[in-house]
Amino acid sequence: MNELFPFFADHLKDIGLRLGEHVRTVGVALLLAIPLGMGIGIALSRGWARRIRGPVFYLLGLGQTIPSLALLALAVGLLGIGVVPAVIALLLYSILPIARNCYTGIQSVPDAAVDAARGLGMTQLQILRSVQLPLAGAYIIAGIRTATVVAISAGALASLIGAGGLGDFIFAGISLYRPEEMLAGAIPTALLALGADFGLSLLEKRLERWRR
Amino acid sequence: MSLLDFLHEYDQSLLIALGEHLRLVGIALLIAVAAGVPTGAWIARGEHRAGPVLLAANIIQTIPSIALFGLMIPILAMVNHGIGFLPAVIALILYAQLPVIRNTRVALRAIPPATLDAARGLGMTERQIFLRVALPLAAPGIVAGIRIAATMSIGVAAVAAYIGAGGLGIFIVRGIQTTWDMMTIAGAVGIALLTLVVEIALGIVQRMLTPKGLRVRGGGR
Amino acid sequence: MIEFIDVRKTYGGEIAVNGVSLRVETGELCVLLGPSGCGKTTLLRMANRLVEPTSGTIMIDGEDIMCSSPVELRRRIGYAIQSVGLFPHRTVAQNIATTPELMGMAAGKIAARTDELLSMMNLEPARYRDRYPSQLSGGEAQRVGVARALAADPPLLLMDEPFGAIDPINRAEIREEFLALQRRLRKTIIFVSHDIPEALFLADRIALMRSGNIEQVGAPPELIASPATEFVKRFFGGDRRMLLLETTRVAEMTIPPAGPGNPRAAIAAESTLREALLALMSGDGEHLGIHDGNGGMLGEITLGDIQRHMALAMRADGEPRR
Repeated sequence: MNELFPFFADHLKDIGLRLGEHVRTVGVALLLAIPLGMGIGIALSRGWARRIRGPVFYLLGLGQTIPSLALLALAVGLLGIGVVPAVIALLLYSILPIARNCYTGIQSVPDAAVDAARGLGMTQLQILRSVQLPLAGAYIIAGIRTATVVAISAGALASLIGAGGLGDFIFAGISLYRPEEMLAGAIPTALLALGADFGLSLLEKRLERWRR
Repeated sequence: MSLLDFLHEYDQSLLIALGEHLRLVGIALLIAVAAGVPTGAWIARGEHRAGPVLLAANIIQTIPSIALFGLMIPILAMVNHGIGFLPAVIALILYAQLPVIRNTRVALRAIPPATLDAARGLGMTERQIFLRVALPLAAPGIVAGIRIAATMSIGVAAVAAYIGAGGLGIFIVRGIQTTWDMMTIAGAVGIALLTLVVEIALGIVQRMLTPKGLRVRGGGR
Repeated sequence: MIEFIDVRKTYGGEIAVNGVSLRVETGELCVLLGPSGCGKTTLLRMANRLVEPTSGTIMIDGEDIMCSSPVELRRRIGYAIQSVGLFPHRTVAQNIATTPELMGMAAGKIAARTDELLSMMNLEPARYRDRYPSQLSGGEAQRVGVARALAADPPLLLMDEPFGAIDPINRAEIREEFLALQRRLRKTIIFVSHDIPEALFLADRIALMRSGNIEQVGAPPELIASPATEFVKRFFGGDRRMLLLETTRVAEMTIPPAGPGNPRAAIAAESTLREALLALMSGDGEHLGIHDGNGGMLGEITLGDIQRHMALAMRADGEPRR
């Protein structure tokens, strides 16, 4: 344990590098997952999607139950190793929480508000943009928050398929049994997840207050 | 070599790994439920306790599984259990707390106060109220929490193969180490299938435990 | 018989019940009436120790309720509430059987008792026994709630707006059935209500409450005709004469003996003055015969007799006595 601080001091640059890789993998996956997930959520909230809504959410839900390690392993089998398969696996994994919360958020908008907007002569697109999405904001952020935590966690495992990130320290530490190296990966990973969760929870609360 | 050939050749070791996986998840869930349901009931009765308990469970839940292992191993190494079954089972128990506690609390609080007031007014003891009224009504919600905990635990248990806890994750570990895709895929497919089966089975349990009076609606008039 | 002696309940600094004394006789239906927040529900809930009094004594048949454990006490007292609180996971029969089961009654006896109660509440046992609460209408659920309260045949019943959650038409019907049932069973009942017509219709006596105190206790006509305080007078509103007509029975007035010649119409002495008035106005004779319900004639009354009775009852236009 007492080697921890020297190890941290010696490897500060490495830790920063791995952290950067981690954030990059997770960030790219989320940047793609947010528009995709919201698109699915918005599409399913439309009247014409009434029939397929149930089955689509059921399938997405089943997909979500597949453990992230299994999904990453499958990605290796199909796409080989590296950053791209890792991003794709994380992306698939992040879509459901975003899509589901976006849909729930839109559903939670009072019918009266939508009616009023229609009465004022807004088009469907205008209603979506200036009434439904702003009012669903807190829900959507909550979905992004869940997706972010999930992606950071899976991102640590993505080190196994050659995507780098903070997982590199943890896995190397475990296989060589070097506690200080494990902690050099585990502590920043835990802080990254907790920090992202906390930061997005603040944003979520702010949007909730604004909604009232 | 096809996946079927692989399954045929490695059926024994797959079965052993499946057994290890189920044992790890099963033991962890039993303990998690034994701890989480009473905790959920406890915070449902005193709302002031709910905040801190749920916050703690939420923080644990947010820590990525492999990071949690990385944090626990050096600590447990002090009692010579750094790797293997113990850290895995502890991590699984900790992760299962949030869904079990949260669902227990929500399910108990969803019972109409009038139902509990009537039970008390008719002369049930607190114990009878809990066992005959509150628990049957909350059971579906509690099982839903256990269901979430179970699927999550199967996934975390897969990662636990890296810290020597065995289970189906071993195939992924070895497959990636030796770059033998077939072995990786066999592990991944096995874990995914196990998750789906458990998810569906607990869904059936949840439906069975839903009292008939909560399933029927209207009728007769 | 249940007696409240100087019962107080405070929550922190808030006074809910402020030293109330009230005696409800065996077989009497006493309505606790008053605006919301007046303490009537708190007073009721102290009788079966769902709320513990801050001070004072409550005696049931001469025994202090603090001498029994709350659970024992509650099993001996029927309890029905506005939101009914049926157990959604138990059938109608199982709901009714709750207290008998807790008291260890034999299964066969319970089944017979359940059917008896369902019939008593005008619910056909074969049709309703195995239904779940979610399959009942509001009125049916309230009937089952009352049946459940009566299941162990308790001599004392506590009812907190038990017919409050149903529509007005069904409420009137269930009220009439309940009154008929009570005339037969003669339970001691404390009944909380905020509904004036309901209280006037059901009560042997009304205890009108305001901010934790009882303003006046008495039979309905008494409260209307001679309100003790300005609050009581205002509570029953402007149409107090009408209410008095509706709540006074012909038997309560002096009935002059029948004169020569048979009156064309006659009504029972149990009828209200309002009914007598309507009969007098729709018939063509000046006189209305009064019979005792068993064919015996008691006498006959005229419009003037009713006017005189009303004038006496509402003496000095019912100005408060204090």
